Amino acid sequence: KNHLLSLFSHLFSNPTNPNPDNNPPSRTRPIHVNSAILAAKSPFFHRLFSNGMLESSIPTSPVSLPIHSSEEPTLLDLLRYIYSGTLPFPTTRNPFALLNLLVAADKFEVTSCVSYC
Amino acid sequence: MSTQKKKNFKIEAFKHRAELEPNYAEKTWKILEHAIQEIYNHNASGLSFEELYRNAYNMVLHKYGEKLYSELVNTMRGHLHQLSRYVEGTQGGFFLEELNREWEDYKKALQMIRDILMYMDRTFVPSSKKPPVNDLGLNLWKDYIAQSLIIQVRLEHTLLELIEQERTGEVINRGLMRNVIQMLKELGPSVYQEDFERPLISQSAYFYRAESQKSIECCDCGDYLKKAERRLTEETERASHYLAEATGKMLQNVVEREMIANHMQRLVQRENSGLVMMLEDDKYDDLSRMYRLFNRVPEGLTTIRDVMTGHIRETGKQLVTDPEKSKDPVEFVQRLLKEKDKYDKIISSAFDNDKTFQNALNSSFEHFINLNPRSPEFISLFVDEKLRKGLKEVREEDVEAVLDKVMILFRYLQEKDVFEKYYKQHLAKRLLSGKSASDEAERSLIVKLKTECGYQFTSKLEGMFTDMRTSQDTMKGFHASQPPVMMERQPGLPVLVLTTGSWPMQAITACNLPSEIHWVCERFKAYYLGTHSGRKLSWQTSMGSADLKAVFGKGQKHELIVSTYQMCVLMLFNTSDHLSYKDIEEATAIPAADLKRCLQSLACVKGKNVLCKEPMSKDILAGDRFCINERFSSKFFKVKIGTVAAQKESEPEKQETRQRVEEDRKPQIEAAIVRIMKSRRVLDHNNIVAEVTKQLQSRFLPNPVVIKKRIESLIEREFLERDKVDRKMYRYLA
Repeated sequence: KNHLLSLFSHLFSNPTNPNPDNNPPSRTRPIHVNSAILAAKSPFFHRLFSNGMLESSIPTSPVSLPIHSSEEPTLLDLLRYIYSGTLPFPTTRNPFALLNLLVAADKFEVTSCVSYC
Repeated sequence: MSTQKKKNFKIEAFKHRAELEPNYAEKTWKILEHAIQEIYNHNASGLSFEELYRNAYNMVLHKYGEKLYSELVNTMRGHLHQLSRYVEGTQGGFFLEELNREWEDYKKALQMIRDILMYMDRTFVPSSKKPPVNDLGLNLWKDYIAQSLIIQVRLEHTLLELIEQERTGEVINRGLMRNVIQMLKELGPSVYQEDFERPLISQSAYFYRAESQKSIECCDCGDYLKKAERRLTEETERASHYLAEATGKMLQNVVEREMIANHMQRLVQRENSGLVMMLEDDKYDDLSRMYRLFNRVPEGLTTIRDVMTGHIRETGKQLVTDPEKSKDPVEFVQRLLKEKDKYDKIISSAFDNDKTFQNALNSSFEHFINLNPRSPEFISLFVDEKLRKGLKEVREEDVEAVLDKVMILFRYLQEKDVFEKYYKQHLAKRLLSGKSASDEAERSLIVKLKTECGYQFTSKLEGMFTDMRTSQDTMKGFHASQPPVMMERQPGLPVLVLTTGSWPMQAITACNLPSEIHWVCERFKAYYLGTHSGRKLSWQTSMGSADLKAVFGKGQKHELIVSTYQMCVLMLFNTSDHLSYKDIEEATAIPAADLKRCLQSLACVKGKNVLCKEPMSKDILAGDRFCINERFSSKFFKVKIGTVAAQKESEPEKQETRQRVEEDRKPQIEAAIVRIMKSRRVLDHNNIVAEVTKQLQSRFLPNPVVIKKRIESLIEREFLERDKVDRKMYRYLA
């Protein structure tokens, strides 16, 4: 399936709360992604787009991915990596950014990125 | 700035674990448990995968993996407990359907649960050495449903009953069967084997045992085999539809064992429909079915082969030993060929050209052909019949084909030297009386014999052909050497110079030739000895023939084709009208037996009686008188008189030939013994016998007693000596 989905980023003011579902999103950022490309690199995205739960039951509706506002650059890096297989220069030079990316890659099981880091 | 922020976040991340709400794990698990219940209730489409994944991820990340896992187990157990109650409670016929539907749902739900707990599967499960969610789900299903006491028994019983129903011709839901059996397979090979495959095999064995008992009582062999074959295809088909491949093989084995292997003897030996019947009636379809089926079980083909061999030997024995049937040699051989053709065809069309069957056929023929000591003679006579000209207009290819077949029979003969002896006689007769139909066919057969038995076997036969050719040249030379005037005045004398040894010759019994002939003979002798010094020429009057021009009482002119003896007798009547038996015997000096036969053919055969005999009777007696039959008439100009065609030998002749064969064998055996001893120097008796037998096998089977006699004779002549210590050992002296 090659349709485009928009991805909403929930940004939270309180980074200590690990469960952001009760808080309203502080910011929503739509990102157009190709579900097939994401699914190919990450089992998480694969199941997200296909296992029959809310996100995949209505193919055209946007899928939201709530994160801390601090995680936004990391997530964008990860998406970049998934699409291109490489990382932008600033990130590779920044050990903290890399560390964060490693955590995110582990969470979403982007194995190739974990080994890349 | 952003670096600074992240740094802070990281540090805080370590801290804030302590700041987690006190009932964080409990609360999070409740969310997940609720979700799992919703999944079980088919309400998954309302759940957010992302949220659940994140919750499970966070639980594992915050070291609550153990809790997550054990709570999951509890929840699943609870669900399965309810499920088993429900499945147990289903009514009869819907049991399988329900079970299958629950299984499908369960699998789907398990998949979703696994998805949301993916992170736990990946990180917590391997490190804590617990089964992953999927395996866990299957194991629990096995414990609560598939192998729970009530359901397990009911499931096995239902499946087996459905298969039995299908075997008895009912239509069952194969798709459902496939799904349920697939479930057992997915639960692990041991579940499939223990809970289903093993009971199925023993039930099938029981079923087919009963069926084969019943069928064998009421069906004939052919129908029974058809049934067995159908059952085999059914089981193969069944396996391909809903069983494991290995189970299909096992079921085929069951059918093979219960329906075929256990009844083989009874099937083949069945009267009126068994193997013997099929062979006799050329039932290719039935035979080939039997071959295919029996091929699948151990000892199956051996059983067929043994019965076939026994049958061929039995019928063959009847064929060759029945005195009625061996009256006509040509018919006799024809029957053998027909029998051979019949079985060749059976083996090629029903027995897959099986080499072992061909061998069995060959050995059977070898066995029974040699039961009749006259087989070699008859085969030679058969060839003679085929190669003699004038009898039938046969095409060359046909003759070739017949000869090839005869060669097959020849191969079966043990006493090939006896065949050679007869063949030589018959060939000599064909050549000398000019009756050989085709030089090519004759040569072709000799080439065949040569390839079969080697140069030695045919050298004398080839010598006969050489003699025929050189004789033509000699005759040309002779005619050229005679003054033309002489040639016109004297009777034509075609001479065939035969090498002694190459030709089957009886002891020379020279008769008195008519003076006209005698004179020409002398001239030829002078010519021949003139060109070939140091040779001896003697006349074989018993083998020649002559054409006579005769004028009878009323002027009827005929040309008589007669033997040399007959010619001698008839020529006497040129000078006198009446002659007594005594007169003729004195004048011609033909041996009495031959003379009687010759007179009989001249005087007693209706239509060919050029002589009159007094008194009229069938037999020739010493007191009989003969005169020319002046009223002789025939619608043919050329009259052929009583040529003694190649015939089956009479009893004394047979004895004589036999004796000659035995005589000829002696030097061959001796030569073999000497050859062996020359290379071995010392050898014991049994080994010599064995080796001699082996060496001479291609020609005949030497009798051990005869070999012993030959050894003794060689010892007498000091070729060998007995060992001084071990009397069984022989030593070669040279």
